[in-house]
Amino acid sequence: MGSLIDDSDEPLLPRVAAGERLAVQRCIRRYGPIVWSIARRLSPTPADAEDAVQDIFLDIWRHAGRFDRKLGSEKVFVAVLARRTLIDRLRGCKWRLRAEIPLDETWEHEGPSTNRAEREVEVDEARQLLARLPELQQRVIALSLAHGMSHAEIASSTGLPVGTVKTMLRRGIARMRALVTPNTDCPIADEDRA
Amino acid sequence: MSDSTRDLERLSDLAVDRLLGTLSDEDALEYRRLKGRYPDFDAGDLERAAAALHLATGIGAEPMPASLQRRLLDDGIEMFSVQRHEPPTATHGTHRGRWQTMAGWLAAAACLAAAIPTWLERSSPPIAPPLPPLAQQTVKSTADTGLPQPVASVASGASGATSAIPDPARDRANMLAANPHLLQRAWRPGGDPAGLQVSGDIVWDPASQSGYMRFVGLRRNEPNAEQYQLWIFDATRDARYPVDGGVFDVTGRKDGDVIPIKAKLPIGVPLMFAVTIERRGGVVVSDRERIAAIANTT
Repeated sequence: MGSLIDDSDEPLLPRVAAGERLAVQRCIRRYGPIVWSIARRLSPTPADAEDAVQDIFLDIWRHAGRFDRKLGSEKVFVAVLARRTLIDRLRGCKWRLRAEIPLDETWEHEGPSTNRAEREVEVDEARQLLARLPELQQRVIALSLAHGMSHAEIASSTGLPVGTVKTMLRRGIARMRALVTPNTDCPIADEDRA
Repeated sequence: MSDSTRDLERLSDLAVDRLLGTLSDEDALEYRRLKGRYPDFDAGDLERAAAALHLATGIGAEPMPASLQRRLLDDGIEMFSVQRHEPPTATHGTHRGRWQTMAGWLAAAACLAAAIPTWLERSSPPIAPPLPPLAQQTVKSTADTGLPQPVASVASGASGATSAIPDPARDRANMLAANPHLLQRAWRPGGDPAGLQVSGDIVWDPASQSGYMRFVGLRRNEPNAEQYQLWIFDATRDARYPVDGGVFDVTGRKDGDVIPIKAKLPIGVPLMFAVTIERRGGVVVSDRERIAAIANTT
């Protein structure tokens, strides 16, 4: 079976969409550990995480043909699908969220005509952005995104008012959006560093 | 700051709450209103940004349990080898034996294909033609505007025609009035005790790919425990994979429940509509152990 983790950059999703068995196997090896890691933190039990991973891979296979490299990397595409499934399950509104955010809306629109085809650096950009944020805001973002905590839970954990938690999250994600989406005005100034 | 700038910033804030799963009901209404006002707003950018930030939080990559990896590998290969050209039509499963159940679907395909004609033999008679048109224009359901809207049960009954509150019963009536050639068939019990007294009908408009289910006598469900789920068998699709028509709740009111149909894929030629009882949130593939209602189209 070889290594459990496939770190190569060879695009897999177009091959998965074509139904190549080897690509399916490699997709699981490459992204399985990431998906599992995300699922473990956003699932109430290991058994639930395993269920979620199965759901996520079904989504990956179903939507592999819609992956558009111009809009981002495969890893982020996979993470979007993973987060969507896990948040749905976590919040008990799985059906509604899926119905309300069709994948087409996310991945099939015409992106900015910038040279993103060669870019697979969103995660590095995100790391750099996180590093520039105050430590408390970094923690708030991690508790929300990586651990699925609600605003109230984060407020309780950090001692921050709920409104501040909301603001930190919204500004953090909005700043990241401005980084990964050229020509998008970033509405957030540096005041959130304070 | 202009109104539009303020609106877009608010819309962006609400979209973030939404993708984090923290959007309140009240904010959801505001989100829908603003999204309707700014249809070009792309929440996908925010979703990708959140995913990138998530990956940047240092979550690492942990090897999956060997049993899970083997299951994914084996079942993935099996899935693609069997349905390379027909991926599953629904993706909302949660139960642990989903893959096993999918295999069950595949294994049961022959039985299902055989069952459809069997069910069709007891086909429901067409409902009497609808009343003459009350309006000359088609009224589009507020549930089909493309805006976020949960599938919800609404008791049938008259309401103000100009009301902004979604009213599937009213919308169904308007649809029938505007188009006398809609597909309309009666429900009959599917075998589960919850549907023993079921009556009512299903209305489907192939042109708009929309429709409504009206149930009378279908037992109220406990949403936290189980929900009803509609499946649409389409003659143009593989019979093993009925199209997911939406998860919904029934109040069991005497005057009936009217629920909009939310088909997840275009329906070509509907053969049969079946309502199953599933766990909360619905399933990817129904084991069809609890069929509450059936409506045949032929």
